[in-house]
Amino acid sequence: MSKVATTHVAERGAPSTGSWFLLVVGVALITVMAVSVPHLLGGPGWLSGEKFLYLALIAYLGAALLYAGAAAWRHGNLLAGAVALTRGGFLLHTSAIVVRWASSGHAPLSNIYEMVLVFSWGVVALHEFAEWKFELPFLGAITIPIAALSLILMQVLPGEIRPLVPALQSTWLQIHVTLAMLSYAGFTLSFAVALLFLLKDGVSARSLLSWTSGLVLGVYGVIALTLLDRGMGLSLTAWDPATQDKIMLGPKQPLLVSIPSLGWPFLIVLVLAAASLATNLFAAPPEENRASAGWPRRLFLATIFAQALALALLGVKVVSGPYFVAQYGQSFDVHLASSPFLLAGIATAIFASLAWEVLNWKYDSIVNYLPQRDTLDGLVYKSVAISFPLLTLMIIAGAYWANRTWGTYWSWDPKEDWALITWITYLGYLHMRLTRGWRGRRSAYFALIGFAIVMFTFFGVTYLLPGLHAYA
Amino acid sequence: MIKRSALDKFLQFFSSLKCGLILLGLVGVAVTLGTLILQRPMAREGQIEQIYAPQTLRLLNTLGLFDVFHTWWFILLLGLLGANIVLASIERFPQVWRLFARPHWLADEDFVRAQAFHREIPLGAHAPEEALALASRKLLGLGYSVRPESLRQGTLYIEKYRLARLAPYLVHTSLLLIFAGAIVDGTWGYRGFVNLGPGMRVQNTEPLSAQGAPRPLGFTVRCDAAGMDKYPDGTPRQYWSRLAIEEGGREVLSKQIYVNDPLTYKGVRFFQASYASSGAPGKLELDAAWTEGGATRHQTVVLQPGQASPLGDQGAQVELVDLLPDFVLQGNEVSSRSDEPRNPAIHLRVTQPDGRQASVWFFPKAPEMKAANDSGFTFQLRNLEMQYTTGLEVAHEPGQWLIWGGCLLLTGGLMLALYFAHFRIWGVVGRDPKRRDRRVLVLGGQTNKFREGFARRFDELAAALESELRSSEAPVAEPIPA
Repeated sequence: MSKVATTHVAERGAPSTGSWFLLVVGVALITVMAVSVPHLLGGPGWLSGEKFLYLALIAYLGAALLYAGAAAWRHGNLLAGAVALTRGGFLLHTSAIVVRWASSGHAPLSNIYEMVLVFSWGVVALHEFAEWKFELPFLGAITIPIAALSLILMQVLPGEIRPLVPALQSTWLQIHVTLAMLSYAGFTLSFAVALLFLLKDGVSARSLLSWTSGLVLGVYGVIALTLLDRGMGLSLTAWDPATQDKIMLGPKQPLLVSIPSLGWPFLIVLVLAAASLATNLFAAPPEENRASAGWPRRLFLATIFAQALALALLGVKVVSGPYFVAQYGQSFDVHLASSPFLLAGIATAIFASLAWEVLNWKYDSIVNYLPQRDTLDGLVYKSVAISFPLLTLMIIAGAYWANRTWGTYWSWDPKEDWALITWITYLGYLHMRLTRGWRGRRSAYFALIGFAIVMFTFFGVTYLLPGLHAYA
Repeated sequence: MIKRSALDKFLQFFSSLKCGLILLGLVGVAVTLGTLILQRPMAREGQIEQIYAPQTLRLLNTLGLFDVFHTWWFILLLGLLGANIVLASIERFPQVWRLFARPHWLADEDFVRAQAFHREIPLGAHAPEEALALASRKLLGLGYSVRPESLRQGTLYIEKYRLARLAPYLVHTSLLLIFAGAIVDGTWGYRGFVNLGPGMRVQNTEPLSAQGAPRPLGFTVRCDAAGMDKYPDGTPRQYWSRLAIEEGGREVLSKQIYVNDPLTYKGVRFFQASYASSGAPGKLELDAAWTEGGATRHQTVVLQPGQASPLGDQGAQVELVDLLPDFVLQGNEVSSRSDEPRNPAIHLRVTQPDGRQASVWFFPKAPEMKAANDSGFTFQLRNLEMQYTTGLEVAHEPGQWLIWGGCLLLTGGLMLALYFAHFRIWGVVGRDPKRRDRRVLVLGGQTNKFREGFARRFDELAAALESELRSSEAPVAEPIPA
């Protein structure tokens, strides 16, 4: 244990960065709570479950913060607070589902909003189970932010209660979607545990910095490639406030509105993340050259500020529309709801960056706090072993339902294809694990890749490759 | 000789897990391509030509990438995967089957000691048979039944979940069943559609794609009624059609079908797929007004196509000439944009008692449009019911039961493979290796999965047996037989 401690002392960045961050985020959160709670308590929104969900989100954000703090300081009270807040949030989350179910008259499983609602509930439920059964104190620092991110994403998804279209009035739908959400939540758990395993297995803060800055680079790279236009404007889909929907010119052809010069902050993040990644990859190891060792970290810190700035500017600019589109000689509004992906990407990058800062600051403490390597490795397998049959049953239930509704059990629809790709991926994992005895890092990396594919199947296909699963 | 060994090598690779995983990966890549490239069955007419550049189009067309899931190479890939599963199972199955059919029920001391988990338990004062009987009773109490035939021959034998050994083969068989079902459906099954208005009959299904041909059903489908139920806000709640099957002019079956609830006859299923206005009017309710002796008089007129209705009390008549459900004016041409009654244009003919005829056009949703009207009557639309046709999807899938059977087996097989381990424990009376004159119960066990869990279970059992043999030795102090 002492050996681990000494090797990583040099790797730690400025010791105050993490605590400073925790403090700032904490103050921000408490301000948000103080401002929003009184506002929340009055007014409508209780019956659709939205208000419960806001409260649950606040509880989850607080719990995530306390989990991070508990791991950093190894403080029992903080952990107890995190556990209590999570359970409180979970109760509110459950109430949101129950209330929505009761007021709509059908199980909340019929559109992407309701699916994310149930998915995030599944993540927290599995988190509770894993925490109780396997004593994983730090798990909440990964699972609860994922749940919180999902609830944030839900704020921009169309959440009004709509009656069920005829094709969705089937018990098989409910079985199919419930199984899908449970298995996705299970794979999320395997992802969280695989990350913990990699930490315990000695993946250094420095390599994790490469991964995190790579993630930020990837997110902003995709944004720059798809949304940035020549005049450094950021293109967003036009929004019709009357219908509360995107303005489409045709199928898969949204009407794009360019917000002038909003591209710059995104480009700055991109450049800073690239610089942080490059210096981290090519700079000398920290033990040899102390003077330059801090650069990747400093650049990464700048990336976080730039990300916060980009998000804030995006929020301000979106609200201060409408924007003129020369092509149509008309001005159009924009709304974050028309690009949930953009928001999800930005929020994920910020969460991951903050998580890295906390990790970097208290690396040894956190790593020592984690359960044994083998325990974590076994848990990655266990969570996949539970989720995989659920995934299989989900595909079967979907095929059976499609057969009753459309007369064919398989139509090579993009969602089906990606469910099949997910299935094949985890089938590969199980074969390698059970017959080739894959353990440890390879198994953990496989779990990370599998989770990325699950998330693409869940969100990516819905927004990028529409087909028969138009409702979700 | 050399040829033979090359074949052997090939077969060996072809039946290996590595080959299976490579094939599975290739299937994954192909499916990914099929979702990233626009597929012909999903695209609109001409959409693909519009999106891709001519060179790209030619290349992707040659490779079959516009219809990945029906190209020969994708089918071949699935075929190879199936063959790999079969060969891999053939190669390994006999060994597993031997183990499954004839487990090693009797063991000797050395065999038991060679097991991955083993323990020596002192017999204490007990005679060997007595100790075995005590141990087997204790095990029964703990929920493990000891095989009596083995016990009679001096071996304590317990095992659980022997079926788990077969789990991989159950999973593989289930995949083959699903493949077989898909082949059966692809060869003998068909899909099509029919459009039916109330009162209509069909004997054939229309093909889904442009190049197919109509296919005789072998019986007649009659539609008695079709309709749509709405939610209070006007969005569709349910579509339904009342269908009947006729054979030899006699009705043999009738059912009201809904979305999610098809009609099945002779393996052919009819699904409620669409419901739309046919573009032809069904029934109009009009309010007619005219002046008579200085006063305005009103009358409600119900019109059906091809039927004239009396108008006023002077013997005038009105009939429907034409109705455009969704009219649009382009120059002087009037045409209908769609079959839905969004903006109807109604053309009536009024016949006066003296035989004079007058043409009346009117536009209920566009009152600013005025057409010349010398009939003496003005009309307003009260209600318009269009004629509806119901669109039915037709599917014949003779292989679907193979698919569902395969799915059940797949689920069961996966559960067995992932959650159940086959474990066996043997116990025989032997000599203590340290003190050859002392007898011990040698306990050994093995499992095919979950070693950590089994280790705990084995330790618990051994401890329970040890305490059992020790505690029941005290009261009966018998001399140890030499």
